[in-house]
Amino acid sequence: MSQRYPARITRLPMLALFEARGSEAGLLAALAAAGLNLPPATKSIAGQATRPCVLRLGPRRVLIMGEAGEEAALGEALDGAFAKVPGADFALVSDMFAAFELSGKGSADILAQGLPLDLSEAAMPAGSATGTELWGTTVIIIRSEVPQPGFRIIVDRSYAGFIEDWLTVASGGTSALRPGVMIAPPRSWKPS
Amino acid sequence: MTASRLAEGGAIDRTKPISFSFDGMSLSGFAGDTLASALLANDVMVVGRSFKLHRPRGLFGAGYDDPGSMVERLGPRPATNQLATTTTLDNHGVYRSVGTWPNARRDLGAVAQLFSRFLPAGFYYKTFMWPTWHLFEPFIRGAAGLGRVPGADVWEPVSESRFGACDVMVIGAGPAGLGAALVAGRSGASVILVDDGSAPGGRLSGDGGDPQGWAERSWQELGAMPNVRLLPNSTAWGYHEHHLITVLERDPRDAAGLDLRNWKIRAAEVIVAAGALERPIPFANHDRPGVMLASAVRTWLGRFGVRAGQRAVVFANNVSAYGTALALSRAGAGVTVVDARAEPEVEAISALTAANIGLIRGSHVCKAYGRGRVEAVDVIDGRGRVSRLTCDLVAVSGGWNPTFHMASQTREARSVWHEDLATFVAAHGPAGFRLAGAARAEFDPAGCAMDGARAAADALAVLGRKAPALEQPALLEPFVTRRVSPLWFVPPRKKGEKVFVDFSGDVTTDDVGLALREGFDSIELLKRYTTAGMGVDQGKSGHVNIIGIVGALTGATTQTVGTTTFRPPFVPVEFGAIAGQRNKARLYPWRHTPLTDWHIARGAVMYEAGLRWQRPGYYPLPGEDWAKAASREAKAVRETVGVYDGTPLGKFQLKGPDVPRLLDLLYISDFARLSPRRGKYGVMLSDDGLIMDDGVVFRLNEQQWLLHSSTGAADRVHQHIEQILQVHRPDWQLSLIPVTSQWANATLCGPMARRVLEALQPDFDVSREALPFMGMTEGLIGDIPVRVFRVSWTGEASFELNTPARHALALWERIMAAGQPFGITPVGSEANHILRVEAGYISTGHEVDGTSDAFDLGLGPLVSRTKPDFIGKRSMELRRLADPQRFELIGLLPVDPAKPVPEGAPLTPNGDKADQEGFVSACVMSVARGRVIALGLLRHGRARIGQTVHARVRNEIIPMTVVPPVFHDADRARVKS
Repeated sequence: MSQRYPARITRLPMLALFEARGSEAGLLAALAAAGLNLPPATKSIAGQATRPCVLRLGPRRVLIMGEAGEEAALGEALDGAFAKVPGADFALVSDMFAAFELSGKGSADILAQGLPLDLSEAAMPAGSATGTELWGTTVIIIRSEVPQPGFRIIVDRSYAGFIEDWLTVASGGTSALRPGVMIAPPRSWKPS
Repeated sequence: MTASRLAEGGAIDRTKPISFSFDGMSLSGFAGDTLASALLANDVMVVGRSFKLHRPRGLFGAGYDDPGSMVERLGPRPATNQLATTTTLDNHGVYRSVGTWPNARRDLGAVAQLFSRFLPAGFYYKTFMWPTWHLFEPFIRGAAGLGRVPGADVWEPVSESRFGACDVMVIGAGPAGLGAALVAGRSGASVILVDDGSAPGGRLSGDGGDPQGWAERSWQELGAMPNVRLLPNSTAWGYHEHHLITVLERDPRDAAGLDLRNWKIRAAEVIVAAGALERPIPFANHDRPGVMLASAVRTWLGRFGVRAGQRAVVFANNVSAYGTALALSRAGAGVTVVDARAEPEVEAISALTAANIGLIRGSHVCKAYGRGRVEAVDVIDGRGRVSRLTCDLVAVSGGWNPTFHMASQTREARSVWHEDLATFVAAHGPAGFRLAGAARAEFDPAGCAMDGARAAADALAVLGRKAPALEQPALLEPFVTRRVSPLWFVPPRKKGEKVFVDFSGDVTTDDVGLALREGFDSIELLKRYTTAGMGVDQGKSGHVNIIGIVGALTGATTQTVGTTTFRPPFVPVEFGAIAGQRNKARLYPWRHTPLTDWHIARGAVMYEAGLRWQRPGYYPLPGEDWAKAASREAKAVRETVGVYDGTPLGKFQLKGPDVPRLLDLLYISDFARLSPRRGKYGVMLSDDGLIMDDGVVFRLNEQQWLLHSSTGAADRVHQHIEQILQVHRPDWQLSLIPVTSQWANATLCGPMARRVLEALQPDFDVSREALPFMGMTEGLIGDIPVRVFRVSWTGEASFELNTPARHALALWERIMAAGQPFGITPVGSEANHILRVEAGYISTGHEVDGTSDAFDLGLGPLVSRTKPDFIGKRSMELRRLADPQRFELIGLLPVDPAKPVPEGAPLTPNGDKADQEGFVSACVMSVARGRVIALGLLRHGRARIGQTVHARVRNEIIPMTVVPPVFHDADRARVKS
């Protein structure tokens, strides 16, 4: 049976991700020392065509994104750079996030079921990145052109199973309840 | 005397016949029919029974304005409470009328009519009261039901709920909507055009008023524009703040296998071209099958090729019904027009004369005869003379009500009385919201198209776009209503004759009069007392008549009486459509640690741990319930070693020269002088001096710190700190990065914990000297990087092993393997609860209940005496000064050592039914003591050690002895070992 929205849904292997925070001046200095650019505007990416790239999520917050193999080298470079800037800091967050890629026909139809933003090309051109909500979780959405036109979704790892199930069902597929993945509600509530 | 299908005409597909059954009768229709049009074509006049009195009812309106042709569809796709006029006819469909037995034609419920005197509006406030209402309630509720939920094979539609956005949203694809959409679409703006029909044109469809097919051509042009999305078979059902409009799309054509799609569309500009609804002129027995709205009769003819009768009386107070009269005459029916006005329009009179149709002026139809079908009507003239007309169809038009319901839903529009048309129109509305066409009381089709174009031009101007001109279409409608002589109802000539003003609730003019006499004279109260306007059609055809009647009876103007408030949904909407696929696994975003699969494979019963996290509650072995499992796990921690998954704990990385200042501001204790590689327990207060959270802070090195919060408070703590950094202390030099999910955490606890840690062969020293209590270290276990914190919440030596989440499973499995010779047991939150109560540690939600402060809970020694200030200090001190009668943390031992006490049970003096002097915050079966123990809060508790207090649980009194709030390792020797 052909899928209702036949977009390709892929869970990406772990990326090299670092979150950095600090004053604008501090971030500028630290990133420059590591050979990276700070995007001047929020909700945008610098260096998307090459890797690593820098997503500016807020006035004082960036996400540095590279491929898995680059983690060690990138970490060292950032270590040296941020050590010299007292008011700015970075942290390894590769393990904290899960990343999904949605590409091809129907990508926007799938995302529109959980994301309240206007996903048109006019409102969200290639190279835009923003934090928003997706089916009740906080995510970062990037409209990417490479390798194919589509979207990249970055979400806290603890929600990976939930988001994967939603993407599958929203595309018209059947729920991917793998044995052992706990996605039914708990039987009892007890604060601890 | 029959309704029948004409030989030709209508938009149905006569090459595709459809067989179906209704109430057991085998019938046939065509593709393109609704159930209602097919029933009418088969001369099935009685389609249901009324709600209260079970009077036989037929079709009245042809769309969603029909007040009650509800059916159950038994197959295909079993569902109930479908409106026959909007239900597409299914091949081999099996349908049943709702609320009838055995069927609509012969319904035993009709016996209710014998009791109609005892069933006026609000009867249940006055009758069926002795001995108790509840004796009658099940029977009355059963009789009042609508539809039965289908059995096992109920249809489960595949639904989708999604967001959308556009520049201009146009609701309605009649002439006004099409005009607006063409202008907006041609300008290049993004447009969404919504229409509840399957074909465009609104009232034009089938009326013959669009000979050049302008509607169809416009629809094609719009469909080819990439910036326009067409939504046919869709109803805009609700307006929500800031132009968020919900639309229900049925059978979307662009998505395979989808039955329903609920849209939530944010539009920059909204144009509502939803048309107008005809209203009737109520007279005695005008609810008999065969009495219909004139516009409905015309729709049956034009769209479905069905002539609803052979001898028709057309009763009207405005000229639009003349179009129906002529259409019926052309279709071969004998027609007589009864016009309530003495002076109808001259052209209208000429047209009737030319068609040989009789006209009776200045007269009213005052009564209908017949039961299962109308057979005749009485007509009364200006002088009171009554004559009888034989007929099998009565087409009624009392005027037109613009459909401005959505404007009312915005709560910013007022209803204003339009004198000439004797109806309400909407005035004002929020910015960017416009009505066009008949919804704005423009009834000429060509005029509607231009009105829509004008509204679109206004909208485009706001968006900074140029509006292309629209050519006025050649749309014909010879009889356009421009004046209506209000006739709210025709008074019955004999007492006891019923004039129904609301079919859905069987509400008569007598009921309206009764409500007014009883003092329910506000239109909102009258609606609720009589239930008029609260039924299936929500008063669509009846509400203006009722307002007119109230005005006439009270002497108030209709403007003064006013309308009730319209609320979403405009038409019934399936909950499933709104939910979309938010069910089963996708119902709620639970959070899982990397070890969830392992826990479940081990048989864990998962609990919510706070903030959507799931953690194991207990790991039952075969034959164990939660109590046995928790006891076994807790015992393992007390005697050998246990391990639990602490990943959900909040973790925050802090760096910068001002971190010590921040920590001193946040916590009650001193943090500035904490040494590197050391940790300290901290209690965080909110502004009101009550405990927000607690946790341990570790100093990693000179510059970097790691702050831990409890699982459930992580977001709150995060926001609290961000607010300080961004708002209160933006000049401080430090940064905060949340890293909760970055680090997985496996906590070893128990007397053998260090030995298991050693067995893991770390490349770092884990001796007591190298890793003291509240110390930390890090290194590798095999190739797994690990950071170890020595903190404890269990009253035993504990080692929190943190590793990046990618290694979580590998580390956990190593721990289980290394711990196996020591009898390592995985531990859940139930056992944790036992352990921490025994050790006397506080917990949010139990002892930290939002009213206890740090001193109450025995944490007074932690409060800094040197810091000049910290968040909550002043409030805490002021509260304690003002109210010295504090509840204090104590331990409790039930006098009966096996007697469990429910957590939360109040403690009252002597167990009397009096104000509580405390409560039980936690109660467990202790493994260390082999008996039930509890923690609680008690007024002046610390001074009452040794006394007996009483818990009151409903009518049971449980005596307990007050003891210090710690039952195990009071000197913390085991924790520090």
